[in-house]
Amino acid sequence: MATGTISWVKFKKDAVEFIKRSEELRDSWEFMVLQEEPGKEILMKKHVYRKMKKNCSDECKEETITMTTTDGELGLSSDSDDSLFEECRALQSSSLSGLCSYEYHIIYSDSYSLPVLYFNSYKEDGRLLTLDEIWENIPCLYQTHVKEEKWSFVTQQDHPILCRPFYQLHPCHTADVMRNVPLDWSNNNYLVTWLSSVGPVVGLNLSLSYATLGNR
Amino acid sequence: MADAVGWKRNLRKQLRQRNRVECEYFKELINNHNKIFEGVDSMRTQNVALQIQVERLKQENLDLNLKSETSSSGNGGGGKASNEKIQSLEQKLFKLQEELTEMHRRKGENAQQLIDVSHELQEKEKLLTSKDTKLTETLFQLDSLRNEMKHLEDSIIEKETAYQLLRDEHQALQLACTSAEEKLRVAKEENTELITRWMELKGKQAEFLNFDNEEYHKKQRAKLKQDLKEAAETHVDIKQPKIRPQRSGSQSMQICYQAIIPTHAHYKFDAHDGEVNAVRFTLSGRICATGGADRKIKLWEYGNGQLILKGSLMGSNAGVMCVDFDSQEHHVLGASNDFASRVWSIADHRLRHTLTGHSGKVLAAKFFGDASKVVSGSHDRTLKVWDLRSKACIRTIFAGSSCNDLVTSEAAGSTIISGHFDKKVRFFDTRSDTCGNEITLQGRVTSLDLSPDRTMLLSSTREDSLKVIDLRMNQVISTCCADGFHVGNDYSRAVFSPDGQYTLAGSQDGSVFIWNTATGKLETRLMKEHHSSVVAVAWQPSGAMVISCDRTKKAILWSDI
Amino acid sequence: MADDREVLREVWEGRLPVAFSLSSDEVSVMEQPEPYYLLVPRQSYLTLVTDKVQKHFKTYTDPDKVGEVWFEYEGQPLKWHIPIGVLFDLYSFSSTLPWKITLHFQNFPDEELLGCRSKEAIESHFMACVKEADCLKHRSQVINGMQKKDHKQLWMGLQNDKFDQFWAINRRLMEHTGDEPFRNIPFRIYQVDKSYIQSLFRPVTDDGEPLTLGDLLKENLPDIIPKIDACVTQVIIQGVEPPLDTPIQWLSEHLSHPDNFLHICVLHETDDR
Repeated sequence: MATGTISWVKFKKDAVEFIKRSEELRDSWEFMVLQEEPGKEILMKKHVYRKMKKNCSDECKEETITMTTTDGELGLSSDSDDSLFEECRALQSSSLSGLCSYEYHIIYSDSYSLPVLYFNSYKEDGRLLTLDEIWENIPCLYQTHVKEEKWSFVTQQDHPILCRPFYQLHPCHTADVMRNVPLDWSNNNYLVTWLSSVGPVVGLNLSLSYATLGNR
Repeated sequence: MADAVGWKRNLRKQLRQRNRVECEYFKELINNHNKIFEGVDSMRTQNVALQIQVERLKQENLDLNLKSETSSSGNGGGGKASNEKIQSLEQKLFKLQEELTEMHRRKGENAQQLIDVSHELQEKEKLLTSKDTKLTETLFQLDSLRNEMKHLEDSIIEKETAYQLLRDEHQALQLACTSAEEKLRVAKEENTELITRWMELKGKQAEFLNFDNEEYHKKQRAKLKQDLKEAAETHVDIKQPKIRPQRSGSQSMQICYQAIIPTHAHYKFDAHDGEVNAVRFTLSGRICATGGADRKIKLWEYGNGQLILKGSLMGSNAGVMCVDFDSQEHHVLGASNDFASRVWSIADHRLRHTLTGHSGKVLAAKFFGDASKVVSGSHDRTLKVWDLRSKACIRTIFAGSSCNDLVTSEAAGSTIISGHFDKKVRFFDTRSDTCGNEITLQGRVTSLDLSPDRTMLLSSTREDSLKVIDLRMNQVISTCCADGFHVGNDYSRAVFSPDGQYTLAGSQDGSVFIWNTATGKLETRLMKEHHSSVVAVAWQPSGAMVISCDRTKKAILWSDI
Repeated sequence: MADDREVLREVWEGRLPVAFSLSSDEVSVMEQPEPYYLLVPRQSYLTLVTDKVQKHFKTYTDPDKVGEVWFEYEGQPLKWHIPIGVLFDLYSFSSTLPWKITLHFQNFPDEELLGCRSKEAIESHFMACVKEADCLKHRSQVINGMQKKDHKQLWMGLQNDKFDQFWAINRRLMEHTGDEPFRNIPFRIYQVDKSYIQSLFRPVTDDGEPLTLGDLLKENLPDIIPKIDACVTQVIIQGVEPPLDTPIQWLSEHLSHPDNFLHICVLHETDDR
């Protein structure tokens, strides 16, 4: 195993830990296992609302509104979905312009031996954000990076399981980044460390409460 | 190897087949098609260009036709008539045109006027609206003012009623006030009346007291006369009696060369009804005063080996705790449990001064300075200095503890020395405000006495010993104690002998002890005469006799005769 | 070796005759435009080789409604990021040629197709595939050892259909030192109406025996071999049916697409139209 990468077994272990903490925090992450095989499970979080920024200078005002649905709502069927829908509608009507719904999927890539972050973002009218809009919404801090090599930063890819377009945060640099983290992964949660460092680029902010995971 | 070649050959064959089927068959066709397509495209664009050209030409043609037509019509007619007609028509046209312009001008003017008028109208309307608004505003204001006025009126009425109410109240109060004043006046009158009555009564009381004293004197004198008569009748050597009165009159100090230690009771008598708390000789030794729980001070004169009652001084409202004579032997001072000290004159036995001001029993009082001052020590933990001339307390010293006895010493620099319940002997300089010094002893201090040369202080304490303190060194130089010697009371007194050689004190069991001052050695113990605790003792200034008093009326004169 | 190079060239030379036509719903002029015939390279991408076609058809449609272009074959939107040859093999293998593709300028199905607003999107996708493939083959050592201009040459070779230009660089990606085969074979197995299969597969056994295409298929689709034998299932790579005993290492080196992946289409009889 090359440095900076993790095995699938470790990924699964971290993911289970992560989802446990998420349940404690009611953070609405889900872990879908399609097959007991590498790359056949999705760690996902839906309905993360985030304001689109108009331009870069606006970014300071950027805020993430996380609509955390309770377990019950997620588990129940149509009418709770309706209530969620109503909630979204209310949210829209109150602060209409530029609110996007994000959906994040984390999938283990066998090729790279790394977790890869996929995400999609929809506007209020249900349309997918274009790649240009995605790039614009990356925080100021990374904009220079985006300008230089946006095509190897975030691009659209076919979702390896759902087979439909998702935006993908390129995994090329992940191993380089994680190699420099001076932690022993046998005792620490790789997933949390990785997600908390790459997530904010695409508006995924992880609660600090995850930080204690695996710190034994 | 054959296998390997097999799959490879198979693949190559398939690939070639693929390319032939998918590509080569269509290559030519599609190339041709594309060529044709491009040809069609270029044709189409050419066609469009040509069509545009055609259109342009058509337009041009039409224009030319029109032009040729007009030119041909212009050249076609001819003739003067028509020319004239044209001219007249042209003129008419010209006129009409002029008229038209004129009309236009007027119309313009009218329009301008109209605009002006409408402007004016607008302004007026504006003015009107503004006036209207002002009017409504004013009306509104008026309304509000009216309301306010009404409010104010209401409040005035309210105020008036309140005022009326207050005035009534005020009147009632005034009435009450006058009646109260009347009452006050009556009360005052009553008060003055009562005071005068009280004063009268006081005067009467004093008169009565003095009368009483005078009566007593008269009796005394009569008795004396009687005695003298009797004496004159008896045959006596008249030399001595003659000298004595002279001596007594001079009040000279009796000088003691050597104190004689008494050996037995010489004369016993009942001094008071109850406890005898204090006893003291004058400096001349002629007169002795005792103070008792029966509220009296009795004056005794020594003669013929016995003490003869010269008079009782009354006026104290409680037991007398301490007596003192002034150096001139004019006055006697008594400290009383009724919180006061009193001064009587010896000559006429009259009460001269009552010194009130202490808030507790006065346990000790002494003349001080030139006998115009008195210092008293009280259970209220203060010492007070009194000026008899102004009859006022001139200083209060906060001693901090109940004062059982005190002595004054001019020689020691106008010092007041006081003995206290808290086992301390304190020194106060009357000329400064501070407490100069203090000595702590082992027990409560019950009495103090100064030696004749004023260098030693004798103190008696409840731990059953007498301490002799050298005032020059503030040191205890000897202790006098003995088996059977118990200090019975907080006001048990001890004294020096007139030459300072001996110390004298009475014990609880009724015996009287005499010690050597310097050595503290017990000189003698006089027993079996008193049957109760001995409270006060005094040594006659001549040094020949000692008097002791106990708690059951009795006083005993001791001598060696 | 000369034979192998010949194979590479033949693979590269693969072309497909395509008849593009504009969706009849989107025609805004009176007459339906005629189809546009084109020979397109199997290795390339639809959006990369259809500039002329798009330009031609744009004149026939309402310019106000023109959006991103997309392609459809018999109701199936075609993913441009899969090489053209693979799309053909998957959806219309053994159908009559030329291949009839319908062009659309409206209602882009962004739930199914990746956006492709510029050639850079294709390049980025292509390079991502190459990188992933190298990660599988050499732990990214070869691709990371290359310079930017090498990457560019790789791309330009494909874009301009220049075999020599492309293979000058790609040769290094296909290299394996001595007897050491690739760590894993970069491959994807496509089936109609299913998501593709991709997994780790070593080209040799633990004893060093080379594994074949049949072994790879067995591992990923356990019940496929009898079906192939019964001729109900076809396995197509680059438009041909390679024998199952073909060593997988050789296949990967020679029959991979330019993106360095071995795209394998598995066709079932029932799916065949």
